[in-house]
Amino acid sequence: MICIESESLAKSFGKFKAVNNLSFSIEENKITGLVGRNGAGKTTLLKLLAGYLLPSSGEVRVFGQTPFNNLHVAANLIFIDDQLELPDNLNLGETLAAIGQFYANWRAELARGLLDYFSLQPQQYYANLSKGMKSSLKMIIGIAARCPLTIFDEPTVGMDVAVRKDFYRALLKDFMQYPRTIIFSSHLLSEIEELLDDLLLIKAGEKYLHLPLDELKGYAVGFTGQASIINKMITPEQILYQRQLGKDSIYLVARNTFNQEILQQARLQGVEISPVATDDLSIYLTAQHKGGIDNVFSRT
Amino acid sequence: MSFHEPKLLAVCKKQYAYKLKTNLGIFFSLMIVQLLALLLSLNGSASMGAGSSSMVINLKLISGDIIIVFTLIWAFIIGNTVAGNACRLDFSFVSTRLTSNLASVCLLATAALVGGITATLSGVLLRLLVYWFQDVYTNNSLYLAPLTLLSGSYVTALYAFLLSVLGYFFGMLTQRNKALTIVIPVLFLGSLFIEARRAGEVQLLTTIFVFFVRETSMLLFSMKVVCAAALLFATVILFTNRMEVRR
Repeated sequence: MICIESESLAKSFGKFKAVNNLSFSIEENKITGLVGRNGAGKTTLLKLLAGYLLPSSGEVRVFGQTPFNNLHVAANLIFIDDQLELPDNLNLGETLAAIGQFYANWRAELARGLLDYFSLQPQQYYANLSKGMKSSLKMIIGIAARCPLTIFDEPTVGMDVAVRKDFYRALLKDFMQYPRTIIFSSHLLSEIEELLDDLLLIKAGEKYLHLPLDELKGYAVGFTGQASIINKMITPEQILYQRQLGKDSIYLVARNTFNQEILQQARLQGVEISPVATDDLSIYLTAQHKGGIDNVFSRT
Repeated sequence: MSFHEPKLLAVCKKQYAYKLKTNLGIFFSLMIVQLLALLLSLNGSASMGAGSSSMVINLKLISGDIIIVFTLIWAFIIGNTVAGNACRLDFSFVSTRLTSNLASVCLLATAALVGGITATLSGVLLRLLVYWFQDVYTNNSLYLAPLTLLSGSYVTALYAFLLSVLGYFFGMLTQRNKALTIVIPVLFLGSLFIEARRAGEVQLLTTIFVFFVRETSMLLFSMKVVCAAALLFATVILFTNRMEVRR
């Protein structure tokens, strides 16, 4: 069943188009990663899905309904982000109890267990928590609510590596027990890629890629070697990224449309062929300029 | 994945409980305001014979009861606060504009009721304090009949409710457009000045004021307040319905 459907969705703030002509659909009970550069429109897209914003044009449907100001969608969805406001006059135990009232599937024991594990005391107050601990608390709420659609917008801000890893694991474990649709936006693709079924990559408000993560891993290959040899076998349209290594050797990432023979030939000519890590690939795919930051310095 | 089919009223009830917990501060501020008013009233009663303080005379001219006036001012301000908090906190969890507004109005009604009762009871406390500390004051007006006490609480609660809904209305307007935080006070004060200069002509603010204050029938007064509040509230629901959540 389709959980989210978006049809040429657009949202502009003044003249700036944050989301532009975005069409995609997300199946239920899958974890989808939302990746894109700063300002690519990730948060705007998620807010449109959560029904916080009205589309400027196009259509978005969540559980088959328009999410904006919709009680059915609101009751089955939770949106966890940095700006999530929590009451400052209740302690953490009371806060979780109060929030639990809203959600039919709320797991109070799980929330308490996670709170304990991440050494948050129920007597503490939200305002006194550190940045990472605030994020932890919000993530706990997101997991324990068990909403049919759970949206995390960069939930790991301020968390240290150990806490992040624990959370990915907690999320995955709870997902196995109780499958639901999860959208997870993050800049740390390499960390979350084990979690994900699908990846939605957006660039300048538009959909760039939407594919299962397994396909992404074979999406591109990296070549290291003599520029003259590599450039002969690759058409300019295939090039995703290129970097000068030495005088005439380069590192080049290209879309993988090659058959084994060509790759074998290249190897024989001394070209090193390597897989491209998904987070590097996502950087190359969303880059505005092919040369990367080096280009800025070589020009000046 | 099992869907939860929400009922509007059930969600409102949960949200009301949540709002009551998160807005507990308004009752604390009520206590402070009434305590302050009580202290000021004590001072005012004591210095009235001297008639030296101009501020005291001013307040007496407006209403004759500082505690109730302070409570009404409090009601207007918390209306504003609740509107701000509604926009800030409500949409973290299950909510639509309608449930948020309905829960808010229930909260305001609760607050107004508490404000009305405590304001009247503070009046009793004031009498007691005066009785204890100033032996001159021993005439019949010290005594309040239970029915008077009850109707006093009721009327104060209604006024407080009306003002809190008005505060909520302006609070929501300013949430919609920040420029209104300046425009509304300017319009209000401006029309006050204009009406003061044109005595005897058609005066909007005075008419509205008289419409409520001159009403002698309890039933009619109740109806006027409820209708006015419903009108303000319906307007809020209408113009917030397409409002986006800022966060």
